[in-house]
Amino acid sequence: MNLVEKFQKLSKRRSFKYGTPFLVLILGGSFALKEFTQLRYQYAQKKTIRPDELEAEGVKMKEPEEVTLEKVYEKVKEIDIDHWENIRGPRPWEETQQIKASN
Amino acid sequence: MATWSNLNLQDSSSPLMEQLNFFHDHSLLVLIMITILVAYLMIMLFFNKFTNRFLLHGQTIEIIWTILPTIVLMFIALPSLRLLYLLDEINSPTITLKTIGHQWYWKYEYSDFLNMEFESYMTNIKDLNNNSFRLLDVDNRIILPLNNQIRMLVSAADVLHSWTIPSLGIKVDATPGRLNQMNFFINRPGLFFGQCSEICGANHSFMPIVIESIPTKYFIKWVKNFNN
Repeated sequence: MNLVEKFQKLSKRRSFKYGTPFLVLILGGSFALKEFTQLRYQYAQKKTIRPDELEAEGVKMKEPEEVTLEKVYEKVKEIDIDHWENIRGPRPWEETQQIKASN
Repeated sequence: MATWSNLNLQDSSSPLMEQLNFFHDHSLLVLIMITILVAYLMIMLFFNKFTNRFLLHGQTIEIIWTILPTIVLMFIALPSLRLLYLLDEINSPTITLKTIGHQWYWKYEYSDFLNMEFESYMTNIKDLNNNSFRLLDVDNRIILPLNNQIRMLVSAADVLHSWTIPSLGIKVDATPGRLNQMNFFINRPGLFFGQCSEICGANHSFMPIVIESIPTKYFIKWVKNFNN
């Protein structure tokens, strides 16, 4: 049991007796703290924009069911993506159209 | 915002970007330690007087210098995976903002409200004031309420673009024919700048993005006054 003997000798050293609890506390503590610090983001239920607030100001907000990814995609599908003009940029020795027009 | 000679990440204005910042600092520290160790070993090769012409193998040390780097890699991998899953978490957004990239401007639409659409062009150099940011300022900024989950839907109308705000840690590609979704949360009021991040033609460097985040009360007032 060479390993056991070695561990027993190690646990007599002062640096081990004081060092290990300290390191476990500091390193493990940061992992434990993470559990607490993430509560803020996990349980944030308070919605700051409420539809009734907006009604009071006179602004109409759509229902959340109407603004889903799928519905917006239907609208985006209708954009014409095939007919665009390739506008050529000026060569270094040329002037841009803007400068030519304003001259 | 980014100024010249910035070497670091921009200050974060979003909790996820904060976490990315921490992870960046942590992994950079590990990398610097490894680099210093290897540089030290290489330099000491010049000054070392130990010689063993008949060295063949050293099983123990070979096991040690395989296991130890594996442990170091675990120290990088575990926070990285945690962050990866954190970034993909589902939360319920309060506001949806749709952006379509064109050559060479962005068109924004607040899908939750009726008829709220506007285009955002970079301010020309000759229209700049003494306190404007050249190549970053736009004529119409995106106004968003702070401390709200915001859903971003990004697409393009002609070629590939990419919508990004570094201080919020977001970058979403704008692909024509495709709608990409991303959530973010702004926890500070202020101006946040970004620039188009996918080559899209002659004026690719001249279509910036500016978000102005304000308290919810004023955002509602802005929405009310928008169509007037």
